[in-house]
Amino acid sequence: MKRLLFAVIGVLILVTIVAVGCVVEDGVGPTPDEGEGVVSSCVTCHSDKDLLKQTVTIVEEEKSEETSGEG
Amino acid sequence: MEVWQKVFLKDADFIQSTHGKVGCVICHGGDSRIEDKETAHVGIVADPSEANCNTCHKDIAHVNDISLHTSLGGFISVLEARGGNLEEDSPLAEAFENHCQQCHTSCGQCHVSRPDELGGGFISGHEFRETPSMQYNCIACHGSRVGAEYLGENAGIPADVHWTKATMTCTKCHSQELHGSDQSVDTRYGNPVAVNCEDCHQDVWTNTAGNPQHEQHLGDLSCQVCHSLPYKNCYSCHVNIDQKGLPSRISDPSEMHFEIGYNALRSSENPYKYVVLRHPPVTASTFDYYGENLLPNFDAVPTWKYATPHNIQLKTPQNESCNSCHGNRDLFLTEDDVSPAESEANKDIIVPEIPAPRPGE
Repeated sequence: MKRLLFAVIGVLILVTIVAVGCVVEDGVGPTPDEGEGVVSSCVTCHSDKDLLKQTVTIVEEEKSEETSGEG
Repeated sequence: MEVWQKVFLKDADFIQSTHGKVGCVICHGGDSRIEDKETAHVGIVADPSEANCNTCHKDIAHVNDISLHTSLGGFISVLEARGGNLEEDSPLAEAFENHCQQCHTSCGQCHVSRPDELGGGFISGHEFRETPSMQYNCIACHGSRVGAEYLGENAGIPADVHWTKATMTCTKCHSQELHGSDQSVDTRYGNPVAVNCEDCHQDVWTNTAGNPQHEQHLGDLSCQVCHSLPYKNCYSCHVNIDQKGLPSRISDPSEMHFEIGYNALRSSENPYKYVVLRHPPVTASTFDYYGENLLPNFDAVPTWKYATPHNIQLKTPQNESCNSCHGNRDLFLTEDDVSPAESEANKDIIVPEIPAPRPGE
């Protein structure tokens, strides 16, 4: 009985080691620090129309008034 | 478009999408843990295409790097062929940077937002659109010539039949070629994955019975010679820096012409003897503001360029009968149509003797 118990425990340990070793790390995914929790703070502002209107910085891109004709 | 609209995520569900899950700061930088707007945006990259798309989309980004949309290789190859020196710090390189470079595009400027040159801004929230918008992307840049032709915006010239009959958007024909192939090419016509009329209209080649014009001319005339209408030509563009220090350009008014000439790009893949030719804005003195004679070999390349006008019709004035074209001097680029200053550049494509009228027709 003891032998059987040790064998079962041994198999379980092996399976656990293999399973952990086979986890595929997602190289391009966000880390918890950079992921959805943080994303939401960007999204909070950028999905708030009124806030965007209030805080927008208008940078006038100057174009030459002398340009004429089609390019 | 209002400035706030350009960065407005109208659908916050974007963060649940594949791209949204990657996280804003991973692509755009900045610091999303800070509430103060100015500080949070330090280091922000509005268009992060160059450094990021390649991570997941290697197969497309690889070929796109050398596509004409990205590299502007079409401009560069012609300027160099005309003897232009584009080495760093050269006068022509400075002119190129000031006046030409902005015409390059990026992944994001086709698939997410409007082109920077037209002010940028999301097309539809931050949605990644596999197919770019015809209106906000393709025609935003290619509007004055091809776009106007295709939509029938030139007075008296109808829209292209592919638009009026089938409402085909640009990407129905132009798909893979927009990203280029894995070959660097000098012109879009050299792109091995470029679209051709016969890709769809194969029957034109396999069944010419009952169509004497096709029977007679297939392979000798490009399709546009018989099936397109007058198109826009531009002249005498001169660039400079204005009194405020801003890049500026002045060109003569555009003109609508239809000119058939010889094919300067003739090859086994492009066998046509006769093609239609369009005059682009460039002239020998285009860059004179930056230095004298910056295109010393200007005459090496024609100023009337192989063209594929996008106002295709089944029936056109020139294909009504044989003698609608044969003997019709107005349709052909002859010495009289070319300014003396450009005569040498176009000597190989000018038609010295137009096809004679067909007797009895």
